[in-house]
Amino acid sequence: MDLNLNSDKSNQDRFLKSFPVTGFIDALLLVLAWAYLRITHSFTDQKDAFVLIATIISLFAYLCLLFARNKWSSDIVFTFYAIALSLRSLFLCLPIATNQPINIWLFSFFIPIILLQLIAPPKKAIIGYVFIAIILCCLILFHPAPLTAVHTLLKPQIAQMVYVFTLLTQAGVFLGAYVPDPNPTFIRIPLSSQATDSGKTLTSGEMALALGLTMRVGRMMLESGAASFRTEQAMQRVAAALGVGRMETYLTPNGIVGSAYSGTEHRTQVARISRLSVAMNRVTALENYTHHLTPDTNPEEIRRFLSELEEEGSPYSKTAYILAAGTACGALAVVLGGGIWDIVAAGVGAGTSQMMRIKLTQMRMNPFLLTTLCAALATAVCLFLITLIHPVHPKAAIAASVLFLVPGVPLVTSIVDLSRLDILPGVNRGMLALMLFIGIALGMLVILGLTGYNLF
Amino acid sequence: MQIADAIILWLVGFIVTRGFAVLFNVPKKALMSVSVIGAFGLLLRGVMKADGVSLELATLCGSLFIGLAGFWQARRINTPRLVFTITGIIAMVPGVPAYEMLLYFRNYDVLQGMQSGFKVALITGAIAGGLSLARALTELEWRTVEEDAKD
Repeated sequence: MDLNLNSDKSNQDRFLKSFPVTGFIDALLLVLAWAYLRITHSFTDQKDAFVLIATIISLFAYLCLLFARNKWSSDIVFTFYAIALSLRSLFLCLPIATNQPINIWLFSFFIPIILLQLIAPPKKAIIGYVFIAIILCCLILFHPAPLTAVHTLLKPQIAQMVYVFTLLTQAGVFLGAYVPDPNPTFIRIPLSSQATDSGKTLTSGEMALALGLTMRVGRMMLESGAASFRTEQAMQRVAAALGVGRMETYLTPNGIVGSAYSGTEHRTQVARISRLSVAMNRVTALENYTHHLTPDTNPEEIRRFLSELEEEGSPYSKTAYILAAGTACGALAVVLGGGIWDIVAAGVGAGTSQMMRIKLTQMRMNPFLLTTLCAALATAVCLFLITLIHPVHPKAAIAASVLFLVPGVPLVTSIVDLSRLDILPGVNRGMLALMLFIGIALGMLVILGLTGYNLF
Repeated sequence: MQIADAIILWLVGFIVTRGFAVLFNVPKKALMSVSVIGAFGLLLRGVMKADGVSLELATLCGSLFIGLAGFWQARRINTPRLVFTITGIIAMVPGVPAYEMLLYFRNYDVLQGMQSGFKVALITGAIAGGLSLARALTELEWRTVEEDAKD
């Protein structure tokens, strides 16, 4: 496998050697803690359940790894165990985070992790320690109700420190596990400042070809809804594979500017993007493909791959899409407090609307108009069904029936972009999400206004 | 939270995530694990919320879980992580408060509208924060900013 992460091999080997013993002590302590709680009844059912879940996670991870550690590669084992430990501590810490009294069992997971730390000390844990410490201190300081339980065996302050320290150690295990592989098998993305010396300079024509293909990859990724940094990395990989010395890109969701440099030559292209959709299969295919490109790839090969990908249809049938929208909105009606007939009303409304959405998307309709029309149709069908069957919570049904139109991907990608300092694409996507929300509200308002139905 | 409620919430999370995964064209081999991860993320958020944690903190923990579990699954079946993270958190996206805000504004109920708007902003921030935290924990590259060209 081409794992670019992780490889502090000596630590991991030590960890694997000592794992049967430390893992066993760890699991045993948790089981004992749980048994102790069971016998003394010092917890309500809920807290008991958290510890039980944690115990199960721990035992499961231990048994899995005990049998699989010789079959799996050591970094997978390490990752798996670190994730299991973190999940477990999350569950064990829930009673504290929720301002409940804590007990001595806290130590039952505190000790084994210290042991683990001593055996396999992570080298690069410092950043993570500080990072998590700040977040947790903020959480504790600004938590509305400080820990005031009187019948704890530990003083609240000490309990908080233990809590912080435990999570720190978790972060340490994590960070120790993920160190970049010094000798990756695939192409490393060159930093912009270091022009790669591949030894050859491209001619003007070759560079135009390489840049064109790179821009096409970028355009396809953005059209499929990938975040800016991901697209940029994929473009860099393609450019590096085609022998371009240095590639500079500037992305927005609506267009790409890209320059390729090689020797003394350089070329620049601009690509305009008008289609915006979400197609994870395409992003997956492109990511996998660009990760496995080798230096000096034939441009013709990449072109063939891209053409095949473009011609590939959608992976699911029309019925599957309609059913997906219907069931998802029906299920969301449950969250909003609906009963069985609300589920039916919301599901049928969303399904009908999704049917129209597929048709309109084929006609390449403007997304804003499309969202408005689909929201209006979903609300109308849902209202019609409500007047027919009179469910108990009609508002839940109406609110849920348009939820499949919610632009979740632009909304979250926008924040991801902003957090990577890609301000322009981030703001762009945020505004797109807002526009689509306005579209949904507009569609609903038209129908609600026409029928005189009051949602509030 | 009763066990029955938890099971219903898990099922809701599973169905919602699966539905949106199909709408987002998630590759078939990843469909099952995406749905399970999303369901457990929503369940974690629901359990924490029922236990008295604020919705934002609960959302942060839920999306942190989805980020970490998504990382593990992404390595297992060799798929980019965004397939798991973006689709997994979709059941937590505050869709109702978002258009509620606009409907309130249309009724000139500005205070209620602002309240919904801030709810949307905080929850979306919590989701993105959880995912970024998961990334920062698992990828060193995420913590640095690239150098710009000198020439």
